[in-house]
Amino acid sequence: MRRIFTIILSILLPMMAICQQSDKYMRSSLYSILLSHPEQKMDKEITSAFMKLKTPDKFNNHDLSVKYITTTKAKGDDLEQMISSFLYVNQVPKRMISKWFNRDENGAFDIDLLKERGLYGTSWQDNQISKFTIRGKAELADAGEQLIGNTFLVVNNVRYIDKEKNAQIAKIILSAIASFIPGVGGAVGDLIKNVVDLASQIANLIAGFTVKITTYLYQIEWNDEVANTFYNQYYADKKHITPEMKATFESDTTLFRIKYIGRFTSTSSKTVARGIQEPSDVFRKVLARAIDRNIVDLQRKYDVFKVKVPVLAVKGDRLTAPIGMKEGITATSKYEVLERVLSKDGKTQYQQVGVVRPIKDLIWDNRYMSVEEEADGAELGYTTFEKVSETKEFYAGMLLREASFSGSVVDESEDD
Amino acid sequence: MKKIVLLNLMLCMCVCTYAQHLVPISQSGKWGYADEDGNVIIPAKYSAVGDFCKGYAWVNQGGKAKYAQCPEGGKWGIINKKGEIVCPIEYDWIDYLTGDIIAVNKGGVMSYTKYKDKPNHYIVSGGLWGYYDLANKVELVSPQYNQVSAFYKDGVAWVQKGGDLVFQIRVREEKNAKGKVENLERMFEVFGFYSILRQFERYKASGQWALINKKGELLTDFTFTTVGDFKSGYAWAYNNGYGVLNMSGKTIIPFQYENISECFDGNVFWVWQKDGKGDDDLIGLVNADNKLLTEFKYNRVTDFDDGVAWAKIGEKWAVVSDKGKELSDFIYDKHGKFTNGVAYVSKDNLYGYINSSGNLITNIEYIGAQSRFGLGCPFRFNRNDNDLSIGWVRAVDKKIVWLDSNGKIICESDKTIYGITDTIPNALWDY
Repeated sequence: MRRIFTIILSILLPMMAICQQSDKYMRSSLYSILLSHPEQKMDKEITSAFMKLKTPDKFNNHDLSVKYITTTKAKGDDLEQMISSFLYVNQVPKRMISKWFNRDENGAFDIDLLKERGLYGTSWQDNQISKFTIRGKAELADAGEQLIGNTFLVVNNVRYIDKEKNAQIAKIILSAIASFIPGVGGAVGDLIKNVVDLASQIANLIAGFTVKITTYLYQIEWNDEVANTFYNQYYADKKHITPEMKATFESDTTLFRIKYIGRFTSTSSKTVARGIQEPSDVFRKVLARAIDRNIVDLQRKYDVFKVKVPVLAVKGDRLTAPIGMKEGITATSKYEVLERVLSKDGKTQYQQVGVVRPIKDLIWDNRYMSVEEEADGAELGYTTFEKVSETKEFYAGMLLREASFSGSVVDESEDD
Repeated sequence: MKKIVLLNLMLCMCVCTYAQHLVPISQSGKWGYADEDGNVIIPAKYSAVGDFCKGYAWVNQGGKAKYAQCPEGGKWGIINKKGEIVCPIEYDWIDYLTGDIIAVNKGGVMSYTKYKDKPNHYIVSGGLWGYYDLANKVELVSPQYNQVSAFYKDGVAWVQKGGDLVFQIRVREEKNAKGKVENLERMFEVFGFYSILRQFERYKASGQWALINKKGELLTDFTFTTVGDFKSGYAWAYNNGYGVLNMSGKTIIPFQYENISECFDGNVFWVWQKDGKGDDDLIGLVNADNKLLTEFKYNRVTDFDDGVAWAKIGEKWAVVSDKGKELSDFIYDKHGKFTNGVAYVSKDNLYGYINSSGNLITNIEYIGAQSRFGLGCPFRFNRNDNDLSIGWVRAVDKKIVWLDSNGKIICESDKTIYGITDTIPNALWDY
């Protein structure tokens, strides 16, 4: 096993020298699942839209192949227990760990993904790396803690709000979509006959499509016990894997766990029609923005889920970072500026070196489809912040993390 | 190099567009704008105002504005975020902002009314349309046309003379518990570019269309009774037959066809031979060089997806490429739409899948298949950042057979969708 450990270290070493880049920084990893309700109206449209959504770009995509499951249970604590049971029965935590180590059909692992996602900062200089073999174990533990330990699962329970006034609209929507079949299929004249009033369909959709989303948040448990057992008993590369090792890993149903952090519920906001070209855009836009909002509010509720983003540039009292309204920035937001440092035992720590706030005229609107909507601020590409306080001069590559949120976070979970 | 990048970033920080978010506010029955903190930025002096988009907002003066977004009557203009008027408040309606050009109407009458059997519509009828350049603050084309399209990004627009179609703007009523209308919301903002050419076509507007450029110069005569939107630089039009023009107004496919499709990727069009036999017209494929790529021999055709379409001769379908090549024999009774590079085919009530090269990836031996491969499946395989779609067929024994888009069988199962209490087969997990 020591040999394997050495191999892992030898592969890990080069990655420590990689400098932080603006678009490449150590992100948390995220797997998202949808709970579908086949008995409810609009469920097909919701699942179809969800399947087309991409992982938010402040997270690494850690999706497994299963993207939605059905339930007839609508809400409440029972549902949380059912989700936990599903995760256990289907060994989801173990599969998420397997994805980290790119487990193949023979049971062999590699650490390519760790290397790819584990971009350590500029503070990891060569002279520190030369000491790596001495502190190797701590460094490896740090990589696990920073990367694997920040792997999350969100389960989105999406319910279409079938208010009385929307019932009729839903009918219109469904019939309109059914009739919106590409036009060339028929014989002569079909092109004209099949022309439908697309604008009217979209208008009805925007008026009628509202969803309530409860997002359940889970985090992979990765600690010394799990790491030691995994590296010493299960980890083997292509050359060293044996059927026995494969079988032993597969039979372990207890080592890998995922813990429930909490949940957040909200209702989708009003949608703007600009930029919407077809009915399916409406579903995606409403769903994506509502899910993004829940993720932001979960971060405000649970510090462990907060993302850190790098500072792009600093000039005087101003700095820029690639976050915006999608990450919940408003004119009253405040962000901590963090510097990454290494502790004596080689572990990464973040020290607050200042506080900044966004300049209200320079907030990037990076919400889903904001470019198509031609929303104000969609073209900025980053948000500009101004200094509130500092204990050390800011520089590009430092990290921003939202400070304690002082606004109101309306969690509708109580309605569940 | 890093220094240059940093310098550029700093420069950008200095000159980047101000994106102040202004929201309409009402004071003493008039409308203006405030920032998100409630500070008044543009004093309330207008009868009605719209939301800002691309730095512009419409304002209305003199209209009856019971609801902020839906005034009746009055005059319309455009302001910028400094509150400066960039288009004078002298028009009877404005619409279709593209870039910095907006369509303007003079003489039109606008009212909130019911149009035919449809409630909740604003109607703008009459008047003449022109265009206004907001960047240079000049009337680009004086109001002189009965209908206009938005300007396309390459700088041309359709204009119409002699038309009589009223212009509809939909609104949505927000009612209180007693059913009383509390607010009206415009479903499509002035700045929400949306072509209404199809609406003109649908309502069979009279009048004739011509193409103009940004200088207001006519690129064609007023000879077209129906026109289509530009796509890939081409638009169809009708002049005693369907044909195609480019953005210079040049005819690239003569107006000789009974019908024509939109322009597909690869710049090809399906065209219906004009022989006056109605539904018996035969269809062929022509490209933007007016080269006929197939004979006129198809009875039915579909849209092109990823360079392939379906064509039917008699009762049988085959795959045809956008080069006009037939990629399979005409042997299939039914077919699906190509999705993820795969479509179902059916012969003698049995099903299988074919790829976009026209090759079968399964045998045609199943009793059911997905109408669109992989669509609606809860699974999305991804290994090493490579997405792999999976779909299913139903075997004679009713089992579901899962397979990838290469036709490789993954596993069999009893169901296509799994519930929260299920144990999903190991093979359907990618890790």
